[in-house]
Amino acid sequence: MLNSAKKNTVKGLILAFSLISAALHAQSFTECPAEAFLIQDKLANLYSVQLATGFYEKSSPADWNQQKMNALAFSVHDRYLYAFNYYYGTIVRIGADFQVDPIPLTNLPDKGFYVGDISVDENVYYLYRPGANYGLFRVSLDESSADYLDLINVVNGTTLNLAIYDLAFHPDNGFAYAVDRWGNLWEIDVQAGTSIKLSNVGESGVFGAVYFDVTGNLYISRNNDGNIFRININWDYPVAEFFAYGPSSSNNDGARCALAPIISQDSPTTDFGDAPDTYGSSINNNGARHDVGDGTLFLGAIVESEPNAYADNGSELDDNDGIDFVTGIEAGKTAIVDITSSADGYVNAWLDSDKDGEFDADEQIITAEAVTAGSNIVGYDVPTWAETGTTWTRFRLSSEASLSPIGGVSDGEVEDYSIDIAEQNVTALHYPSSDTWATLAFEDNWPLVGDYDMNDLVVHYRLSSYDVEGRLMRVKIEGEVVALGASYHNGFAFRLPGLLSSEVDTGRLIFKINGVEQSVTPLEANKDEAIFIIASDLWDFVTEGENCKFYRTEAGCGSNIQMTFSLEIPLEANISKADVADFPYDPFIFASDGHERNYLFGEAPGRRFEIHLKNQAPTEAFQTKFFGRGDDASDADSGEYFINANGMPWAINIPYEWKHPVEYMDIKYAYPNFHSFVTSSGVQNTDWFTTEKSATNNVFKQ
Amino acid sequence: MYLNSKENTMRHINITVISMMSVLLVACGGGGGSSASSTPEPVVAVVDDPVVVVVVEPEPDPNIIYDTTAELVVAKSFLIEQEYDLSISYKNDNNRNVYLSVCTEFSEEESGIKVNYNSCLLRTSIESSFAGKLTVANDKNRLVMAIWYLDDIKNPRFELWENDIDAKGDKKFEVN
Repeated sequence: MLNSAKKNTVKGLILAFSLISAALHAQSFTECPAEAFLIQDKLANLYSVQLATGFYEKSSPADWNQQKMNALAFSVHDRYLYAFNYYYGTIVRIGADFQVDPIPLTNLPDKGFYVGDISVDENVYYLYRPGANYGLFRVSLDESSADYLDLINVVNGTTLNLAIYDLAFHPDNGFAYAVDRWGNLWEIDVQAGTSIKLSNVGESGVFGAVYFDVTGNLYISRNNDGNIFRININWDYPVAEFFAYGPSSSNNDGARCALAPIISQDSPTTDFGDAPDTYGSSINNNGARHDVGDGTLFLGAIVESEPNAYADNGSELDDNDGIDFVTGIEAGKTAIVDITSSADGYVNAWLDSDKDGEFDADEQIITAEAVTAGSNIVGYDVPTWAETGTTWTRFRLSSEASLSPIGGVSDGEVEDYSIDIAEQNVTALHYPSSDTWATLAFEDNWPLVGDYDMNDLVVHYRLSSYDVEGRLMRVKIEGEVVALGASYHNGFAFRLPGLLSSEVDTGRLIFKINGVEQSVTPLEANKDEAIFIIASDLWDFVTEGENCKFYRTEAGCGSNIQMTFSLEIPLEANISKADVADFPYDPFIFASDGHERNYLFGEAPGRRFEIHLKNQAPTEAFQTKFFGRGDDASDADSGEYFINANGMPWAINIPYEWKHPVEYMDIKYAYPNFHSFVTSSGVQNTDWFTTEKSATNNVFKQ
Repeated sequence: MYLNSKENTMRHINITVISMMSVLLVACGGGGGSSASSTPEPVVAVVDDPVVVVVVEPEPDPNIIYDTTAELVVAKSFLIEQEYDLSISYKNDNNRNVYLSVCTEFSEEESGIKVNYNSCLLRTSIESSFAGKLTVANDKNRLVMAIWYLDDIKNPRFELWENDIDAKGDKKFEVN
C-alpha cells in the first residue's frame, strides 16, 4: 500500500510519461475496427482476424521485437489496444502504428495476467487470474478518476474461481462473458465480482480469444484447432454454433472493438453465396462465406467481396463464373461439371435434391475433391430420389478439405446456382436459350393503329419444354416486365395452344412473382384451353417513375425491374409434345376488368379484349365481334389475325434481350433496318433488332 | 442512273401511299403515343368506309422507303419472325450414354472449345441416335454441339456449325 503522497507522485509521473508518449509515439485507431486482434507467441505477433471467415494476417512489423503479451483489450474510449506485457511486467498501450508504451501501475501482483478486457460502459481495464492471491482486478484508464492507474482487487480468485482464458465485454449491458474449458458460459458482473453460469455451449477447450460484435454475439476461438464459434447471448440457453475456421495457437488472446459489426460495411473482404437464406447465406444465418483476403484462390476468373449475402457491392461484375454445368442434372444419373479454379484447392458441393430449401447432409454431391488451377472435369451421381424442377446447388472452394454448406472459411469462394433437376432421358428445349431473354413488344391501342414506339408493354421472357420420348412432361415460363409505356390497364398471359386446361397438373404447378410463390393459380378458370394469367393488371405490379407518366419508357424515368415471374407447369401423363404448339406458344395481353379502352368500345371490354402476335388466333375468351373495328383487318377465314390493312401487327416477338424505343419514338428511328427487314419479308437485315444495329439515342436507357 | 430512276419510283410510290395513309392516320387519332393519352379525333366515319380498305390492297415492296411505321406495308403471311428452323441430328452408332447440348455461345481457346452452357437451345441425354428441330434466333449464326460421354467424362467432343444465310432449302446440323 503506497501512501497517498507517493501515490500522487507516481501518478503525476505516469501522466507526464503518457502524455509525452501520446504526443511522440503511439497513434490511436481512427475508427472502431471491424476486424478482431489476436496476440500470440513468446516473441509477440499481433494479427488482425476477420471473425466472419477466420482469415488472419500478421499486422505487426517483422522487427516489432516485443515480448509475450496477453489479456489483450480494445478500448472504445480512446481507440487504443491494451495488453499485459510480460517484459515490462505491467500493462502497455498499443497504437495503430504498433508503438508500444508501458504504463506503470500501482499495486501490481507478482504474476501477470492472461485474461482481460476493457469495459464499454466505463473506461476501466479488468484483469483476471485465478488463485487465492489474485482474482479479478480493475484499473481505471480515466485520467480524471481518483483511482487512475490504480490496480484494485475486486474479488479474490477463490471467490471468483473460473477456468477461463479470455473474457469480453458486451457492447451495452455492462457484463463480461467468458467460456471455461468445459464449455460453461459465464456472465460476470465485474462491479460485484460475481458470476452466473448461463449454459454449457456444447464445445470445450481452451478458448483463448473471445470477442463481441455490436449485436451482442459472442465469438470464441479455440486455441488447439482455431475453430471460431458464435454464441447468441440472448438465447434462453445459449449454445455455440460453428462459425469459421481461424488460426490456432497455444498462446492466444484476442480483442476487438465491441461496437463494430464483424464485417466492415465500407471495405468488406468476404464473399457470400446467393441462394435463399433458408440455405444459410447471410451472416445472420451463419451463411457460407469465404475471405478473399489474399486473392489467390477462387472459382472462375474473379471473386468479389460484399458486406453480406444479397448486398449490392456496386459492381456490375458477376463472379458466379466458376462452374459449368456441362450436362444437365437428371435424377438417378451421372452429371458432369467443369470447375474452373485459380489454384490448387478442394471443392465441396451440395444439391438440394428434395427441394426443401436446405442443404442436408445426404445432399452433398462432391466431397473434398482436389482441384488444380484451370479446368477440372468432375462427375457426380444425382440421387434417384431427386425431385424434378428448379432447385439450388452450392459449390465451395477452399484450401480446407472438409467444409459444411454453411460457415466461414479463410480463403476460396462460394458459388450458388439455381438449376433444374430433370427426369431421366429428358430432352430440354429452350427459347431463345437457357439463360437469355426474348422480348415481346406490344402496341396496345388495338384496334386503332398506335404510334409504333412498341413499348406500351415490353416483356422479357424465356421458355423451356421438357419431354421424354415425345411425351411433354413440363413447361417453364420465366420473365420480367421491362416497360409499360401506356396508361391502359392490361393483363398478360400465355396460352399453350394444343394443351387443355385439364391436362395441367395444377397440384404441382409453381407460380412465383418477384420470387414469391403465389397462392392463386395462374391457370385460367372455366376455360377449355390451358391459359396462364401472369397478371390481370400489370399496373398492380409496377409504378411509373417520379414525374414520369410511364414505367421505364421515358428519358430519365429509369427504375429497377419491378416485376419478375416464373411458372413451372407440370403436365399430366401422356401428353404428346407434337400436339402442343412450338415456341413461343401464344403470349398475349388482354384488357383489365373495369378499365376503359379507346372510343371504339362503349364499355370496358375486360377479358373479351385481347391482342396477340400476328396471325395468332384469339382465345375462347375473346369477343370475335371486335374484329374489323377501327384499323383491324383480321380475316379469320384466311387465318389472319390482329393485323391492320397494311399487314402490320400490334405485337412483335424478338428472340433477343431487345432494347425498346424511348417513348413516342417510332421503331423505325430506333432500329433503322426494321423497315427493310419487314418489306423484304425477312430476307434483308435479319439482325435489325440487335443493340449494334440500334440508334442508341432513340432506345430507352436505364 | 439506276439509283436516280429508283429514287423517282420510290418517291412516286411514296406519295401514293402517303395520300392513302393520311386518311387512315386521321382515323386513328394520331397514333397518340401511348394509347390512353391520345385524344380521339371525331372522324369515326372514315373507319367504316369500306371503299378505302377494299380498293387499296397495299402490297409490300422492299424498294419503298416509308417515313413512318404507320405507313409500312407487310406481306400478310409474313409473321415478322426473327428466327430460322434448324434440323439437328446426332448419330450414336454404339448407343453410348451421351449428353448432348447445342448452344450459341462458345470460344475457341488454346485448350479447346469452351462452351457457355447457359446459351443452349437443346440439352438431352441419349442412349441412341438423336434428331430434332430447333428455332434459332436470326442473329445466331454459329452453333456448337457439345457431346459428353458419361463413360469417358474427360474426353468430350465438340462440333461446330455455321449458318449459310444465302443457302436455299432446309438448314441442317448433322453430326455422325
